[in-house]
Amino acid sequence: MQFWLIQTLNSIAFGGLLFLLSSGFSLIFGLMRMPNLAHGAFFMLGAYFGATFMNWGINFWIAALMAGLVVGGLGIVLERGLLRKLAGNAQGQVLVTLGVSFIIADVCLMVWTGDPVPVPAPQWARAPTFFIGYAFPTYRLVVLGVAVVAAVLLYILMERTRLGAMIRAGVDDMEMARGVGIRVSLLFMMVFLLGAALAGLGGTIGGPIMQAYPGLDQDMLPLALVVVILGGVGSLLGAFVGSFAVGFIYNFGTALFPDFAYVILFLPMVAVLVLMPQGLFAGARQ
Amino acid sequence: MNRNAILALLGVVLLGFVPFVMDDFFINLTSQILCYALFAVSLNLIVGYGGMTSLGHAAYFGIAAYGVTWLHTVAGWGQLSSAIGAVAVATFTAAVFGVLALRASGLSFLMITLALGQIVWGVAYRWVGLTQGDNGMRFPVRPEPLGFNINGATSFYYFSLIVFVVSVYIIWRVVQSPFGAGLRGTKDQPRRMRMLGHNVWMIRWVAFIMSGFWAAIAGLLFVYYQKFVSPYTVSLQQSAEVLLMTILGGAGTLTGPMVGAVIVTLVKNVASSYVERWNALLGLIFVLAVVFMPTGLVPGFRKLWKRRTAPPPASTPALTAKPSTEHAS
Amino acid sequence: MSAAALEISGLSKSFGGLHVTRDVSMRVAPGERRLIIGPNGAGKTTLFNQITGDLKPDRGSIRLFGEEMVSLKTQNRIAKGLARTYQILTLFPHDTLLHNVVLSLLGLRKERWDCWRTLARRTDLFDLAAQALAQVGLSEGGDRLVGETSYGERRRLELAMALAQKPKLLLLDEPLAGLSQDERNSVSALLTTIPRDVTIIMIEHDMDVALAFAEQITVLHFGEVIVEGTRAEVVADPRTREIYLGE
Repeated sequence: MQFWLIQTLNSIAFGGLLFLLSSGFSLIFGLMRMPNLAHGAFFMLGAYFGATFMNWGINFWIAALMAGLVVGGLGIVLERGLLRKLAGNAQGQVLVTLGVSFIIADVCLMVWTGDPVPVPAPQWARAPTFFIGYAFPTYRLVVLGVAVVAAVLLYILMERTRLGAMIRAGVDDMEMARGVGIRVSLLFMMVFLLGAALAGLGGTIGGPIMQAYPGLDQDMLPLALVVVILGGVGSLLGAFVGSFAVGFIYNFGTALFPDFAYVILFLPMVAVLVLMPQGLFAGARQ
Repeated sequence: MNRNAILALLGVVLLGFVPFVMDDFFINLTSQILCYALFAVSLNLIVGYGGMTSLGHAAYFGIAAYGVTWLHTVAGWGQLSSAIGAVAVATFTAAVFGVLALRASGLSFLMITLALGQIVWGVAYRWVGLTQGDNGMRFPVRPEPLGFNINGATSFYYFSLIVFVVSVYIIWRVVQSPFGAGLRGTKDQPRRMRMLGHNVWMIRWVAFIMSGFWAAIAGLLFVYYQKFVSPYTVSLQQSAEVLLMTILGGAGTLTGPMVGAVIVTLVKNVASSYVERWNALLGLIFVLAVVFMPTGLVPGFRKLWKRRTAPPPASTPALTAKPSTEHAS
Repeated sequence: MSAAALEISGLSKSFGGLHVTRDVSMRVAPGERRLIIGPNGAGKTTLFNQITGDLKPDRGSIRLFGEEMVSLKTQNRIAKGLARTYQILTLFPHDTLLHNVVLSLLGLRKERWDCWRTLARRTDLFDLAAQALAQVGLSEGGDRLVGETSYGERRRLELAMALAQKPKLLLLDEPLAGLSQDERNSVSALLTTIPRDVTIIMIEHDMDVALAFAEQITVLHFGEVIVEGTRAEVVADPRTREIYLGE
């Protein structure tokens, strides 16, 4: 019983983490019509930066926000400096983000070496929480809380603000958005900033669970891909549902069949592709 | 005999002389280049001619390498049957993955191939019982095709050269054939192709399978050369590397991917003797190539050449006199 | 009575709440020249797209010479003798005119799966392609790239690609769009030379040419067949005027 309860909580927490990673990935894909293959690298950078900031004695939450900001800034540099030059060449943009992800991964390896860097959880969240007679790892609850807060804030941003309305318009129909006078280039930058910052924040928040290590980027990127394939492109709700679905599948898969965790993770994706040929990609318009 | 055929023959003859003028280090390097060049040419079949950019092509290359190793060392099959079995498994995987990936096109296709490639990587890395995980697998002894010993650098080089030339010749025939014309048609105007009676999905699927088959042949060459295979062989980096070769040299030309393979393999070998890691450089070349040479080196130089040799573009008849030969060189 | 070249019945299609085709039924006799007219957004091209299989109708049946087509894929409908030209040119711009027509010829031939023989050496196909080009007045310069030709020549190439397949039913979607007056006259003269064993359904806005060409006319409005009949009947019908002159 304890096993199942704990694994369930772990799955939910991991799902929350995936939401931080893939909501931005999904928005960028939806708006700019390209998968940002540097997104896993952004997440990894966030974990490394968070660890370093905390090493400097900075409080966990401030370190997480700072990591988000720094990675978000990097996202802007990538968007302004490179992707913009390739406007209209979506394939070129994707390949550039892939190249950038390799560069980031290698730089991380140089700066933080090949050994995993632990990211400490806040002091108060290290002791387990007792509830109806079971001990729960407190920090997983914290991660879930952060994801829920982020989801609510994103929802408000998307549904209640002008920026959100413009993003939605752009995801639905870019030409129309341009036509009604939305400054698309500014929108791209904002969404890239938002997406990269969320990934960076997620990196630090996920750090105490996953640690920062070389290859973290390539462990996370396929997860974001699967979430978006399951949940649909550019949809916040889809990213939310997809994240928790993948969180459960991946977590239980790893716990029960460690050899096949990866295969099990991709099975639902395969099922979706077979059963709903266009369904989930309909929003992307390729 | 036309100009391209003569150039191709000249190239093969020159390659045949390599062992006479170079030492073992460079002979081995050239063998390696031949292997990657075939890998890149196989990928180009779908990327360059079919317009389907795959980021999971290392899967078929790696499955063949793992497959032949496993069949030979674990299952105890003979060399030839292991090789045939491995290529069959890799090609079959390409057929299945092709069905899934071709549910989408464009960037969604790219994403799915990436995800499928990661499954193969996950198996290679995590399923330690089958693949020995991160430690990789040794392939102890090279085969003896038709009784020839190919253990030496020179003899292995000639073996690679023969496989390479035969494979590329067959691929070239495919590109020049009616099927190849159809494939190029589906790249530009899939809807129109359908409207002309072509089965676009089937054309793409067949091309995808062919591409996987030739990648598997390259994978055999790879494991015979290295005598070792590890999860890196099926990693995203490997898929990205071969895509870089194809795009850097010029997708959609026969020589482009070969030129790309030469450059990338040389840079990789030179770089690895100076810097510890190659990934950042790979990433950098990727970014530079995409930003500054979107169509690749070979088409770029060809354009320059045309501009130099042909006077003002008032008339350009000679260059296009024969239908569809412009894709050949 | 022989089967109609095309018989559509009860065809409906909607996108969300927008009904682009409403219960359309029409019958086109073999050899007929049928014109489909209607204001922008009447659903003319959408109707073509359903006949060719680019779009799947929600309801209804489409019979080609008596054979049900609705569940067939586009390429299989083409194999049954259907061909179409596009309003917006869809050609292969990096290839020669001849190569474009050869691709069209291959579409109906088993050799399209031939992976070994060199296409450029298939003089039989290129000769047929040259004939098709000659038929539309492009006997010279078939070895030019499409990108180097004029707009009028491309319109003719569209036609050549369709005619090369020797279709039984030919759908022409605004074959005169974007042409100068001279070119219009010569292309429409060309259309009259198409033999009678080809049934033609045409969408066209140039009323002078279209009315001269067509025997039967169907007027579509908001996805619905409003008027159908001979040239004289349709022109005389008050509903035609209503649609064209505004309510």
